[in-house]
Amino acid sequence: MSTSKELHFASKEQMRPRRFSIPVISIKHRLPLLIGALLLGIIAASTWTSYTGVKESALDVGRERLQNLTKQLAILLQQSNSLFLTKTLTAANDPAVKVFLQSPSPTTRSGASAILQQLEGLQDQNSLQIELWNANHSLVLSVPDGASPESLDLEAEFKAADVGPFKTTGPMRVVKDVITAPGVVAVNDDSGKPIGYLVRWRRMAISPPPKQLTDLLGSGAALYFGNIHGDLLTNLERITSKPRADLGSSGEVMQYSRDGNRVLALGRPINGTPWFVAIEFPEQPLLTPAHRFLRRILLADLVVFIIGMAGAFVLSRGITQPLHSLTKAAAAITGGDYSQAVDIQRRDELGLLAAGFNSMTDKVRTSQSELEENIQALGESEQRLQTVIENLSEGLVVSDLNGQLLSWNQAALEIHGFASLDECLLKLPEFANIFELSRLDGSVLDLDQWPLPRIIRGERLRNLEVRIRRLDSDWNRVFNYGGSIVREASGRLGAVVTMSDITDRKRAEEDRQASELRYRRLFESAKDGILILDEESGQIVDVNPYLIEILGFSKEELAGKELWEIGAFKDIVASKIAFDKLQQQGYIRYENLPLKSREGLVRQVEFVSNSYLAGNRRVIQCNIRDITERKLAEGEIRRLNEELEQRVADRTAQLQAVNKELEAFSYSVSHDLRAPLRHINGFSQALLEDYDDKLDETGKGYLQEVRSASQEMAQLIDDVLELARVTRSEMRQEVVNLSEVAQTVARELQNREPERTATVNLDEGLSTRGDKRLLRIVLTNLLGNAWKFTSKQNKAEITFGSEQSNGEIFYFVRDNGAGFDMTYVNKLFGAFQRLHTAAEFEGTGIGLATVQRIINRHGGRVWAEGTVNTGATFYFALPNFKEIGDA
Amino acid sequence: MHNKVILLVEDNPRDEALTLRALKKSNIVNDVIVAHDGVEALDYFFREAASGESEKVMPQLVLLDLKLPKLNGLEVLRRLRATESTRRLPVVVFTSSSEEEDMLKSYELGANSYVRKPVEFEQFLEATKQLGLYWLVLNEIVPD
Repeated sequence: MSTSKELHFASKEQMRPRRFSIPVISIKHRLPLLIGALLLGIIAASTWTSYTGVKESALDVGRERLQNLTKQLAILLQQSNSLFLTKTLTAANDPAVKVFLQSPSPTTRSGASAILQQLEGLQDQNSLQIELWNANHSLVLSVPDGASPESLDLEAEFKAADVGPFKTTGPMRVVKDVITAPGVVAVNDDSGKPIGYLVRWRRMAISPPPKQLTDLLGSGAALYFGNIHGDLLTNLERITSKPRADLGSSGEVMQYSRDGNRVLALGRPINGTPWFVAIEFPEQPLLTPAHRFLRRILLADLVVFIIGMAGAFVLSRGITQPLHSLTKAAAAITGGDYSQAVDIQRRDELGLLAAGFNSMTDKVRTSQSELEENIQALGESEQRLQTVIENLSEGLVVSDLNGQLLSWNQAALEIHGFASLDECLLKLPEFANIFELSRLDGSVLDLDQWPLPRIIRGERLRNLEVRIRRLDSDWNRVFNYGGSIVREASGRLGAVVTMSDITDRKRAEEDRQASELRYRRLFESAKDGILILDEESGQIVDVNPYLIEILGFSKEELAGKELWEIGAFKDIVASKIAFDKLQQQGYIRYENLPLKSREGLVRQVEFVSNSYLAGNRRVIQCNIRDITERKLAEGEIRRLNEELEQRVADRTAQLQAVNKELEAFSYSVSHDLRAPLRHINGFSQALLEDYDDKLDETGKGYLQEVRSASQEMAQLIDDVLELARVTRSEMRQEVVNLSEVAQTVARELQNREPERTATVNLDEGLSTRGDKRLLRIVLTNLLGNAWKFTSKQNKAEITFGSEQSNGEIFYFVRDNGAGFDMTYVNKLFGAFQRLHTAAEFEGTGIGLATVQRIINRHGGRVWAEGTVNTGATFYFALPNFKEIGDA
Repeated sequence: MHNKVILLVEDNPRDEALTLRALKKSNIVNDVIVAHDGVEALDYFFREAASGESEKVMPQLVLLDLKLPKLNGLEVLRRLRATESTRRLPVVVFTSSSEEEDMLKSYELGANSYVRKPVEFEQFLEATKQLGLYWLVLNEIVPD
């Protein structure tokens, strides 16, 4: 049933299904990679951190410088501006100015102008123009002279100067391509009321910028000087655009890119003015040391990394190499080679692992060979078991505990009538569609009462006789079931059922029982005496009731006695000798034996003795028939027989005499009856001829009738004679070729009426046994009838043939003539019976009677079928005379 | 030279009359001598000629009926055939019997021919004519 399993180590990969296809990186690579990655990470982190720190501090330095620088510059500019304004204020407060403003005249004008020039002459290079505006905001005086007044917007400044401190600085603007900014001072009268303004235009660009400034700034830096509101910006020389929109006076250091370079910038407002100053430092120069630092550190990193990776590789190799050896060894073991030992001489974990592996290998090797031996043994014993099971003459079927059939041996298949295992490895309930099981008394078993379910429930079955039949056929057997639950080596439980076909045995038993019963009944009820003797001893073993009655002894008196002890057979001369003879021959028979009963009554008996083997003993059975009566009867019969014979002889003689008379009668008829007819006919003809002139038509007619009548009678006589002859004559048995006879008859018919054209079909080769002469008469009559009754047909067709049905051969003559009404078919064969008038067809009505007489004498039979005006068929069948020889 | 004679052995006068008539109608002009029974027939052949009688003539043909009184036809035939002088006489058994037995016996006894008398006169006539023609004209006999 189960086959030995192969031992093998399933590899992990085979056991676990792969779900992702990530390529596996070996430890050899993974470890260094990991370490490398780690190192890289650390290096990168530290490098980056330090670099960033260095960078930041460099930038901080720059930032600080910016702060200082801008502050200084702002202060500077502020002071400058303040000075500028102060000076202006001084001039503004000059009475000459005031006077001019209050009362402008050429005189005062020159006075004011002188002041202004004086102011201008202060060699303030930055001063461009000085203007005096009146309270109506219109220009009244300017130095240098001649400068055209332009609509310059100074309203804001005027307004600002209207209030203390009465001085203000306006934002920078471009006037006539010069970047300038106005300082505006209010001229107040003594009461403090503004009466005019003194505006001093100051050049705001310095070109080239002072050396000190550029030195202070350093290379690469940029200076911006402009209005806080952002509408104008210079780099001290000229107008520039804002490097960045939000560059202003935020007071915070900004970092941004300009023209691809990173810069630090700071804008600071100049107090007292609408201006601000901003400085941009390029970061690059600041960062140079940081970059240098980075390069150095990177180099150091590289070195560390390389060293680290190298170390990592070495380490990993140190681990993976021994692992590899282990793997190889394991693979070898998987392949069955247990000889590989792992050679790892280390004292660390791997060494321990190797040692452990080696000892494991040894263990495995030993167990493996043990296991193989066991498996071998198991396989052999399994084989033996299988052979035994397959060759069992009993059927053996195994199923699991759920009723699923698992195996059938050859014998099981055969006795159930299955051709292959495919048909019968089913679940138990499916078999209920194929078979019906019932007890021997005929009561049908439900499925849960079938042998297998009972076994599954835990019963042990032995010698359970069950009738099993197929639902779809007559197949019907009796099986002897046994079985129980078994436990396999694997621990699994199953059910084993054995069955053997005891149908024949049962039948034989039943037959034997029936036969025994029949015999017993016969024995008891026989109307002959039956005596059973033991052959060896000659003692009586059994006596049937009839014999007991005849002899008058009881069964007990007879039992055990020897045959000749009973007085009954004393008259058998030396019955002992007879008995011996019987023992030799096994059979003895006395036709007529006197048997004396107890009372002394003598009977005549027929005594037949047989010896045979009954079971394993030889017995002699004697059948004793009381033939007294029979003898008497025989005598009587003999007497009667003699009487009978005498009577028969007498009768025969009588019959013979009668026959003789008949013969004579026929003879005389054939001669004597015809003679007068001939005379009647002859003389009437003579009359007709010789006295023709003396007769009228009527007379002639009468004479014709006389003649016709005599002719008819002649025919009648012939037919009757023939019928009689047919009955009387001895029949000769010979092979008769009916076809030939038919041909001859047909020819005669044609010759007699040559003008008739009729189709006559005669089957060839028909022959039978019978009297040729008589059979010729039959065919003459039948074909003659056919010829006669088709005389009125245009296309007369007559057929003579034979057919076979139900193993009987019969012959027929068929015509397509006048036919007959089937209603009168019974009259057809009667003598003198006609179904047509003489006017239709002539005839005597004897022909068919003759045919029937002949066929009957042959032991055959005739019959006919016909349809009026269509035709008739006449059949005759002759029995097979093969068993009877020639008569 | 004498006429060819036909001996008709026939007991029935009617048959005799009819046969004679038929012979006449057949233009057979031979003399026909009639014997009315078997004895008369034999007498014709074997009786000593009485004085005064003309020399008896061997017939050309004997038409012999079978059913005769005294001696029947077969007897006559036998006797004829047993005698040297009449052994070769053409004898035609001319009878109304259709018994096969009769025919057999006739031939056995040496009849030259066996003809049944038909009932129908036409046939009777025809038969007679043909008989006559054949036996008297065609057939050769041993001369006297």
